[in-house]
Amino acid sequence: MSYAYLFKYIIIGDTGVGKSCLLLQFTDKRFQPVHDLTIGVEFGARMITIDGKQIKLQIWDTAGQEAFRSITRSYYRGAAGALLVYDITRRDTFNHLTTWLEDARQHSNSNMVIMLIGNKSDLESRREVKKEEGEVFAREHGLIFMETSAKTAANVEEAFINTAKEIYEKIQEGVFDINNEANGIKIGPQHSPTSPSSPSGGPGSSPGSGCC
Amino acid sequence: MSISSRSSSISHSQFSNYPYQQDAVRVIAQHCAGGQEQHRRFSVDPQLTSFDILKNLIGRAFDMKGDFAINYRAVDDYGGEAYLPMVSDWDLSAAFLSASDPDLQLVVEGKNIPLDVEDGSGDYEEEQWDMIKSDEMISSASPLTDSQDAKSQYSQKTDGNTSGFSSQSSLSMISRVSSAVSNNPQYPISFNAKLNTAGLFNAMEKLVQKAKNLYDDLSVVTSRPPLSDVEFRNYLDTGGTLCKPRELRFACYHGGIEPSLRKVVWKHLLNVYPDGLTGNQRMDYIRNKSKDYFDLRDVWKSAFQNGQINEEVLYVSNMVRKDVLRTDRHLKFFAGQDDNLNIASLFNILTTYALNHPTTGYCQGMSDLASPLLFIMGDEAQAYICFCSLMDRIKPNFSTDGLAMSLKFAHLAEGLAYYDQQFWLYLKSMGADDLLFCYRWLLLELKREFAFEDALKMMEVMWASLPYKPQDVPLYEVKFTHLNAHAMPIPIPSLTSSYSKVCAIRRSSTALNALDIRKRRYSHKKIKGNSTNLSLDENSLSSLSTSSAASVRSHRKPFYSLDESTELISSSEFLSTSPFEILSPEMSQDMPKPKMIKNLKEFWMIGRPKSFSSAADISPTTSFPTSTASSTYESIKNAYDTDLNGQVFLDDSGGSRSDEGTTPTEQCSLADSTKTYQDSSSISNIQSETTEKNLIPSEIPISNRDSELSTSTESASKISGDRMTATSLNPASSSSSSAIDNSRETSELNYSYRNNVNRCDVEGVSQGGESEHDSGHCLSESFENSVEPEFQTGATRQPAKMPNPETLGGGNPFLMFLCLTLLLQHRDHIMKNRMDYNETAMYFDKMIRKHNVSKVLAHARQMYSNYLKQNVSHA
Repeated sequence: MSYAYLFKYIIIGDTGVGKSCLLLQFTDKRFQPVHDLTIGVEFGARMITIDGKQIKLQIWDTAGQEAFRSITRSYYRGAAGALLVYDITRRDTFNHLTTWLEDARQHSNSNMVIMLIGNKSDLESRREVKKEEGEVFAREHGLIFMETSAKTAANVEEAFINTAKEIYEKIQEGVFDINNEANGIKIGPQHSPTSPSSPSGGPGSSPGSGCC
Repeated sequence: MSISSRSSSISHSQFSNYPYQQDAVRVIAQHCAGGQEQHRRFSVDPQLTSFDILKNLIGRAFDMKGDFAINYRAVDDYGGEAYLPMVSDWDLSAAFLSASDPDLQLVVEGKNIPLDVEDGSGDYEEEQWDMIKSDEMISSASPLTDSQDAKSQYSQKTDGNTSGFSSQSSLSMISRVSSAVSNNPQYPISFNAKLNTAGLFNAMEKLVQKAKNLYDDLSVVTSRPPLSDVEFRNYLDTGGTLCKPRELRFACYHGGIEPSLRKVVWKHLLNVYPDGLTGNQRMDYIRNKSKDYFDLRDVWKSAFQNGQINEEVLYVSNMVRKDVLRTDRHLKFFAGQDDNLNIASLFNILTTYALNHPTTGYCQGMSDLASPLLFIMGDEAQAYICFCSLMDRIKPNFSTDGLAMSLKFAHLAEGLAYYDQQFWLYLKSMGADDLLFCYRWLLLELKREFAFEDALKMMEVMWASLPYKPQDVPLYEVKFTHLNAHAMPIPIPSLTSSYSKVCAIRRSSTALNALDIRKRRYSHKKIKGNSTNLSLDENSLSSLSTSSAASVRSHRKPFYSLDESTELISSSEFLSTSPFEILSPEMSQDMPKPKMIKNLKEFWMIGRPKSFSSAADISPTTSFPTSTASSTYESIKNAYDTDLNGQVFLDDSGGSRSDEGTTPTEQCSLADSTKTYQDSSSISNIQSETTEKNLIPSEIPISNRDSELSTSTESASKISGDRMTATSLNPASSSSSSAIDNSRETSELNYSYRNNVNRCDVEGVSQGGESEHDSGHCLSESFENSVEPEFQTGATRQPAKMPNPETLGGGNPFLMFLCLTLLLQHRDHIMKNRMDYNETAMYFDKMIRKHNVSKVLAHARQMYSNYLKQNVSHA
């Protein structure tokens, strides 16, 4: 399927926070309560529309365990967006955010858009991390923030799409060098590389049309 | 010629995953010897019959003593008849698909070439490696005397020249040559192996008796039925002692094991027993071991129950708990609520293992490996014993130094380039040649790639291909006691777990970073108090966080390879400083700026340390840029030797790796040697230049197969002393001798290859190069040097030879062929649809638990046998 842009994402965060479930919910629109634990990296993709443009998201879902960190790192480069996920019912996953963030900042290109995600928002009764804390952390570190539930699908679309919007905006602002694939952005086959489309009424979004 | 194109298209696109419609194909074979025509009729299962099997069947049927050619009768769309040569599986597939209705007609022609294969196999038998002898694995009896091996088969097909009318096909082959070979018309033909168990068994017996005549019998056994109770007992003597371990492995390799027998036989295949135990002794042995296990388990369990919370236990149990709750839950065995007792058993096994094996600890993926063991054993303690033995072999996969995994990646890549260069080049063009989507395959030895039941079969076949190694399985590395858990401080040196070391080197050498790592390690040491509950309920402990992880981790020793031998002894001098120093700010400031992994390629390159690099050794994430990875360890070793001896040690030929296979043990020791490099560099900056030398090349992705590579040489002028050698950098064996010569001429040059391909990480790489410039260190010049043309042209060359069986796949060569099979079986689909990196990766992701075990095994066995045969003949 043709697309105007391809964005590469990476999903990172502690083990068990729901990275794979977020991806599955986004790409397949379903929730699998018991998901195989991810070994190394797994791959997903979906088409979305922003500002009338087809954008293909290519998503790399990484293993959270420290032992895999060395290979996870090698995925950062070449990613335009990162979803940094913690589990609102496990404080430690929140505490580790700094580590993840440092890692991401250090190994990615500086323009990579990072979305902070507090997942499992459906488990309100077990919440250990207040939403405000997530917001504060995001503000301090210049991230976008959202609480999601891979189970109920709440905010899952938005998380992926808002990240894409931000990337798209950066492209339009000329921040990203779109000709450099190391930035995690690729121009689609039918898109003129010289003129990243001019904004027409601001980026609006709609859920994608199926997987690819 | 219409036939030609037709069969070509069929064989090319449909070899791998075309489901043959028929269960059986009738074969009529005709052979003309001494002016007398003979016919044989039999039927084969197209799903299971490879070209080699067929050839062997025919060889037996006509009692062919020499090599022979097979042609099959094909009829084109216009009714024209022709005999096409059958030289490969592709031709056979084409024949099955297009020329087997109502029967497949073959004409067999003796080639009259004397065989010396048997001599080769005899010699081989005297060799010392204990892998199942190649001749046993060579299920196919086609005694190929020329280049007619797997490689040429594949290269033919990848040339796009797939039909029977390939290089070999001249009409002269079709003309019937009468064979001088006498034949034996009495030879019984009963080849439908699936149905003829007794016959198979006889064949087996005969095989044992006529060890040197294996080629005659083996192929028949290829599609033998699973090992049965009755058959198994024939490998035991009257006291129940396993007296024919090799025969047992042979049988399991070819047919798997009947499910009801797995519990007994797996323990043999997994090398759980010491040699020579009678049946009763084995039972006692297991009983005692089980008791030992429960003792080990109770240590941490009781400590926990007494409320004596221990960080390490907490950390490990939290990790394990999260993972057992999502391991094979689709099985009835593990299904239901989280309090399923089998899940609890799995939890106990893994936790006990991790606590008693501090060097290895717990790592994700282990639950996948333990689960089938528990499932088959149905007993926690026995599963633990098996797990210990299995882990003993696999644990390098989980090592944070990444060496074992990298080696496997490298070998897989090399194998692909060797067997299917077209596909390899395709993946390269898509930037997918890092093969990272195979990570899980290699880590879990394909356990997850097949449906559970199928995986059981795949695993037992694979285990059977490994050497018989009787042993008294140690159930612990260092006994976990509550005492030592407390007594163990968080020692400073332990901060240099290989992982943190990697971090330190990788990230950058700035003090800030080094400190940062330390800080992080200490940062989350607090434990929550409320956590004595050991239940599997996720809630109970989930809050207990991996936070203790950092500190607990630090108990681990940096390397697990403390038992390394000889070569390393001399390295002790390098170990005089604590590894911790690498983290010290001053040191790191002084150290040359190490590079970070900037892209996947670099990660993947880890395993390709052709160009030696201690950095690569040091860090998993770092890379061993090298082209033909196979000689990896040798080159490291050589370079290492060199460094020790202070003299140049030239690898005498890039391709001579076959002689001294590096054993896994050596690999470990190499990892250690790495450490020594690192240490020495941190000791003094005098050496740092040298060491740095070693460090740097590793960071530059290298691949001499990459046609688009820009290659750069590193000038030796700045190398201090002659410690840095060309060895490390020997071009791949695949590269031409000119390249090798070249490396000799410039024996003190480092070859660094830079990948400039149109990949999305191009920039990463080149920036890597730039930052090298920036750091102003001695390598910088190298990038300005001109490209070695040899390497560029060599880029598309196939490796001349695969690594030898002792080295290949880090001690599990058959795994490589299983993985290659998975790749090859889908290559057409991938290439036809022009799948890019992500699509290819997703495609294989979606194949999880869906691969066809029979086809994969049959194909892999065949590749493996060809490979071994080749190895024998070259040996």
